[in-house]
Amino acid sequence: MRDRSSPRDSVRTADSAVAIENFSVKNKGRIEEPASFETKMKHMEVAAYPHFPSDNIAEVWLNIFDKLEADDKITFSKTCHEWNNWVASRRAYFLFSEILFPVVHMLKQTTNLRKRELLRCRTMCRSWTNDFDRVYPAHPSHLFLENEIDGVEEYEIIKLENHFTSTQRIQRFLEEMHSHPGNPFPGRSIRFQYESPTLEMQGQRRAGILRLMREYYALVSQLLEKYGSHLHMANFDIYPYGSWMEFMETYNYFRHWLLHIPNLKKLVVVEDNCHNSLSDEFFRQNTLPQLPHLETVWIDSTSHAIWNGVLEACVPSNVKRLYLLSSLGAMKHLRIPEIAYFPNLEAFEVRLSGKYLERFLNNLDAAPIPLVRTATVDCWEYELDFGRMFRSLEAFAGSLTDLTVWAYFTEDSLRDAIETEIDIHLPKLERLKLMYYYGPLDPFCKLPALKFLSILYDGFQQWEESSVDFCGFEGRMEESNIWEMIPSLQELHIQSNDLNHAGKSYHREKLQLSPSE
Amino acid sequence: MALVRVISSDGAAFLVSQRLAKRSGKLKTEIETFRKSSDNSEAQPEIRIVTIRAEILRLVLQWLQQHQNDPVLPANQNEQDGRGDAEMGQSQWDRDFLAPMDLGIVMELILAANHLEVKGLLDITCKLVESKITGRTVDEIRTAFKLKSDFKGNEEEQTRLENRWCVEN
Repeated sequence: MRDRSSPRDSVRTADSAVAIENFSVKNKGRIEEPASFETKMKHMEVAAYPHFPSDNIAEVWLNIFDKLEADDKITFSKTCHEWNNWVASRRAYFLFSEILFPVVHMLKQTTNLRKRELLRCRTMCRSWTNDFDRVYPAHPSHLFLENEIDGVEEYEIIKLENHFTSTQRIQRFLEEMHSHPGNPFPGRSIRFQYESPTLEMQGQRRAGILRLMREYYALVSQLLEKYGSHLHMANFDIYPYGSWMEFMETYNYFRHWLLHIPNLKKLVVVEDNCHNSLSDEFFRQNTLPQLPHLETVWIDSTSHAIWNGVLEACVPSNVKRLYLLSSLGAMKHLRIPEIAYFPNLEAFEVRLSGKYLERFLNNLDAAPIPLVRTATVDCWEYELDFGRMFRSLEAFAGSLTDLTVWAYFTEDSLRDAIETEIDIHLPKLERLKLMYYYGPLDPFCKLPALKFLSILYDGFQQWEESSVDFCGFEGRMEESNIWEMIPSLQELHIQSNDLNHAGKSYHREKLQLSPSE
Repeated sequence: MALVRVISSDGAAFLVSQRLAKRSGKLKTEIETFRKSSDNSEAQPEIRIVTIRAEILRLVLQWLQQHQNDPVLPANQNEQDGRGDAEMGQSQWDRDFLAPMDLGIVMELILAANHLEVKGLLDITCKLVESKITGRTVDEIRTAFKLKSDFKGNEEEQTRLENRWCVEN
C-alpha cells in the first residue's frame, strides 16, 4: 500500500520535517551563525599576523581542501557552516573512506558484492584510490583470529590478497609491475603457496621439483626485496622437500624473506617438516629477524623448530594474537614461551596437550597478566583434568569473554567437578563453546555473564549427580531447566557430532526452535 | 508523553518522544544511561550528537517517524534471518524520501544511521550507494558521485592492473 504522506512534502515544509507529530524543532534560531573569519583567526591565535587577502574566497580554500588528506577534509567540513557549505558538492568524494565499511558490511549480507566491484572503486579518482589503500587494509578484522570474527558482523569483510601459486605467476607480476613506483598490493596482503606440477615430473621427479622450487623461492625473494616493505600481512606455505641440505636452503630463503617485510602485522606460516632436530639447530645458528610491528602470529606446523625459531626471535613482546597449532610429536621439543612474555596478548588459539597447556599458561603470578578476551584451547589428550584446565584459565578472569574448548576430560575429573560444586571463576565469560563434550553442565551454571552456550556433544552421558536437564532433552531444550539454572543465558546451540543431523538453536526470547545455519 | 532533547553538532535541538528516540540503538542506550544516573525520574534527557549536523539529524528523525510502527531489526539481522534483500524493506515512501537527495547527503545519512544504530535506514541508504556502483560503467559512477578523473600519466592503468592481480588467483 502506498503511503499517504510524501517525504518531499515534509522536507519542503518551512518548519522542517520534524514538525510532524511526536517531535518538533526547537530553537531553530539557535543554529549558530558561521563565525566571521576574524573570530576564527583569533581562536587560532594568529591575530597578530597580517590580514590574509583571500580569507573568504571559497575557491582559494577549496583548492587547499583538495590537497588535504581524507581525515583533514572531514575536519575541514565540520569546522563551520560556511566551510561545510563550500564543500557540499564534494561530499560524495571525500566521505568515501568513511562510508566504505558500513557499505561493505551491509552489502556482504544483502547482495553479491564481489571483490571486483569493490576494487573498481579504486579506479575512480586518485583520492578514492589513496583512501581505499589507506583505510581498507587497516580494518582490524584482517588481523583477527577466526574465533574473534565468528558471529561478530562488523568483523565480516571481504579479504583482498595477492596469491602466488607458481613461478610463472610471480614472473608475470614482476614484469608487469617493473615500473610501479609504490605499493602494488591493494589489500597489503600476500600469500605464497607453491603448487608443484607433479604429473609432468614423473621421470626425474626429485631433481625436477627441487629445481622448480628453487626457481620459485628465488622469485619470491625478488618480489619481496622490491615490494615487501608495503606488506602488512603475509602467508607462507612452506613444504620443504628432500634431504636436510634442501631443508636448510628453504629455511635460508625463509629467513631472507622475513628481512624484507619489516612492516608486517600478521605472519602466517604453514609448514610440514620431518627434520626437526636439525632444523632446530639451524634456527639457533641463524636467528630470524624480529618483526617489530607484528600483532598476529599464526603457526600451523608439524615442526617444533619453526615454532621455536619464530616465537623466540620474530615475535615482539607486544604481540596481540597467537594461533599455535602443532602435532603431538613436535610438542616434546617445544620451548613454549610463557604467556606472561606477551603482556599485550588479547586472543590466543592453541592446540597443545594438557601438560603443555599448563606450561604455556604458567608463571602468571608475574605481572602484568595479559588481558586475553578470546581463547581457544584445543587439547588432544584423554587424561585431561577438567578442574585443572579451567583453573589455569582463571588467570584471565578479569578479561576473558569468549572461550572455545576442544577437549576430552577424564570421567573422574568431571564427577569431581559436580561433587565439589566447582566454581569456575570467569565472571566476564559471555560466549562458551564446548566441542566434543560429554560432561555435565552444572559447572557452567555459576558463570554470571554467560549469554551464549554452544555444545557439540559426543555421546552425551547421563550424569546422575547432575541437576541440569540435558540427556534426553537434546531435541527439546526449551523444556530443559537450563534456562532457570543459567539465568543469563540468551542463546543455546546444540549439535550432535553426527553431522548428518542439523544443529538446533534456542533463544530465550522465543524459546522455540529455529533452524541452525 | 516522555520527551528527550536531541542536539545536533551545530546546536539545533530536536524535541522527540522517547518512544520514537528509542528506535535508535544509540539514543536508547543514552536515555537508559541518563535514567540510571539521574535522581529525578521526571527529568528530560538531553543528548548531544556531536558528529551529526542538523540537516542530517532531521532526516534521520523524519525517517524514524515514518517507520515508528515497523518491527525493530536487530543489528545482526541478515538474509538467513528471513529479511533478505534490503530492498524488500523499502517502501514507496522510502524511495520518495531518498529520490531528491544528493549522494553526498545519502553518504552523510549512512554515517548518521550507522552511528545512531538505525538498521533499517542504514539498509536502504547503503543499498542506494551500492546501486550507484554495481553494474555501472566508470563514467556513470564518476557522474553519480561527481568525481573527476585526476589520475596522472598511466596511474589509472596501473590501478586497474593492481586490481587484476588482487582478484586473479
